[in-house]
Amino acid sequence: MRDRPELALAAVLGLALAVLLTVGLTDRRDEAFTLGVQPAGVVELKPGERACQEGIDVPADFSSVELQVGTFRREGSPLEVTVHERTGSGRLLGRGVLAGGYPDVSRQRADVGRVEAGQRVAVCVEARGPRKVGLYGNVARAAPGSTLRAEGRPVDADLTLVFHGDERSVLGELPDMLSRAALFKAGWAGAWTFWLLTLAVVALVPLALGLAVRSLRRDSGG
Amino acid sequence: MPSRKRVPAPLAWLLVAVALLGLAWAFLTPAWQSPDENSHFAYLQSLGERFDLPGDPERESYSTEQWQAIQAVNADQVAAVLATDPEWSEQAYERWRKSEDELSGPKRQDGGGPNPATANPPLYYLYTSLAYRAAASGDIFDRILAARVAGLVWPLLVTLGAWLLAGELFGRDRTLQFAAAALGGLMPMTSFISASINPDGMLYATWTIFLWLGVRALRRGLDVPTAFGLAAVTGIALVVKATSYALLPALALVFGVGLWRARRSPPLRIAATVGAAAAALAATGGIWTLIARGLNRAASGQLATPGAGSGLDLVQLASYLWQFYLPRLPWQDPFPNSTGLPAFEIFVKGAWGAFGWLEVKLAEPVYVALGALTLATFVAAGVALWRTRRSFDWAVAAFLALATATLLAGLHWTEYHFVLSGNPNFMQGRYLLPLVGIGGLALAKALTLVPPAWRMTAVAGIAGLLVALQLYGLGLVLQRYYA
Repeated sequence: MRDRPELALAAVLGLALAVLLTVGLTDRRDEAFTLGVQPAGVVELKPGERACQEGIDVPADFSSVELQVGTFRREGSPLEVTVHERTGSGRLLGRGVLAGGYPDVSRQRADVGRVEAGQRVAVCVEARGPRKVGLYGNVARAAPGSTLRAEGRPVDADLTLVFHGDERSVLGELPDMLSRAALFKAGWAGAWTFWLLTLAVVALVPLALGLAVRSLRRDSGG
Repeated sequence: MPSRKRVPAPLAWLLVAVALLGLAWAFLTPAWQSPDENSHFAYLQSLGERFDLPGDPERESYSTEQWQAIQAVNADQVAAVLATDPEWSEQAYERWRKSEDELSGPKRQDGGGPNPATANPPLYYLYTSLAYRAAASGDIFDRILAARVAGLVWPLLVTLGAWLLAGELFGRDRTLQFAAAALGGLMPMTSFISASINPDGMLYATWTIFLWLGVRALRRGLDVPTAFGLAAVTGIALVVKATSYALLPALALVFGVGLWRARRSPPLRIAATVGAAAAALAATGGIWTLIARGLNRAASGQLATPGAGSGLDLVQLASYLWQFYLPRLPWQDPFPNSTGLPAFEIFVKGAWGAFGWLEVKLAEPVYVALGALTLATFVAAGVALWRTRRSFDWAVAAFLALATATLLAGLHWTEYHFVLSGNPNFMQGRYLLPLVGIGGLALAKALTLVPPAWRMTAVAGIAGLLVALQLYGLGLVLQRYYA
């Protein structure tokens, strides 16, 4: 078979692209964005106290907020999670309640209603039960640009917050991913640059290799 | 009329593929999300802005401009932490844009203090500072991209060098040359590192060219141009990274064998060969040594770093080496670097694909398959060598073995002392990639076991697998930072 090398190349690359496409379509996730804070310590919240993580940029729509909560080895106390414009005293954008009874050191989600991208918000957590809770977070510089206030006073910490929205496949998220990739890159680059690069990698690279293999075969008189 | 020499079409198309993949890595990887890119950029900026080497203890490690940009993208929090994404917010970008526009020139120039890259010689940074200067009117991310794109020449040179190296040993066998060159140019880690601000990419290129010229000298004789080129590329490699001192024994071997074989040549010709090599070494590594002395800094600080004051325990060293490559025996004390089998965990995983700050990894079964394929390739190459033992070129074999052994010995010696001094994280898989040309040769030799009628098909399949790995790696990086 004269074209056997090209077929081998096409088969391997075709298979690889098929696997990538399958994974891209079946791997579904609903994470909208995170504050990027690793849980390393807790901010204690006594009954009735409120802590607000302020100045959070919202790069994607979200409808629930995930936080890591410690209960000091007791049953988890109810929490109210609210979303406000810019600061804890700003206009209310969303509200949710986390029922009590959750385990110690666990990740919990509160549905707060849809909050749209392009705003700066504050996420406030209020202890509504009879027992204290610990909100996990890290030192204040973990989320530059955002600040935590507890009972109105600045705290040297940032909360571990993850924001969730609609569930989408990785492939469905590709346009957003390429737009994000264009931020903090060369000033002239945009999402279009990354679409072109995607095209180059999935089409032109295999084409160039195909031409290489064909000329290899011709060189050797095949 | 003599015909003009043209780049063989298979090589030309392969270079196109290598360049496109490099470009994708250069764009896709977020700023400062490759090993030590923050330090390498600070070094580059010090040269590009102040034309001065970094390391002044009175100065800050990073310029104000770099600090602001690092904070804006949250680079320090993202580094090596899978759960943390870089900044995605357009509002944050606009705020940074405004602050960048307000920065004055001096805020780009107030870095230049010590950082982990300071000990490196300056040649790579000098080269990339040209790209940095060319993009000086742009913002800091324009300059990072310019420096990264300038590094795309390294995988191209690796590809070319591996092609030429295989050509010296297999003659004009385009299929085997293509196999060797494809491995060199299409391995995801060579693309990723070369497309980052990192001197290792230049190291891979200089070492591959060195290996080609060394083999050429042993096969064709040590003439003046080859001697000059070989010494020059050694000198250049020495001014890229201290790792390149490992080339000196192999260089000495080439000159020893070459001059011995040429002992009956006219003395003037021998003197010209030696003189050309000495001039090339002096014009590269020699000049840097003089400059470094003048500046009162070590020509290669890294050589002095490890093991200061620690003694040598041969039994312990042997135990360390055993545990690196083989499972620990019941009576051996564990070394702190050995979680799992380091040869697999560090060399196989790190050389084939660990991106970002090494936290972006392929799936475990893929590493196992790659490790098995690597082992099978070297075993097959050994079998093929045994079969052709009657035509074995001992000098070439000794040269390649010496380059490999010296690099490995240097790495293990350094790691052993680092581990003893309580720092077990020295060794990296990418440190093996200067030998990617030898890997290409092993692959080509192994392929001689495949029947000729099927050999090109096998090579095409291997090239396809390498591109598939590239797609996989790029996909993982896209998902890790932007999903």
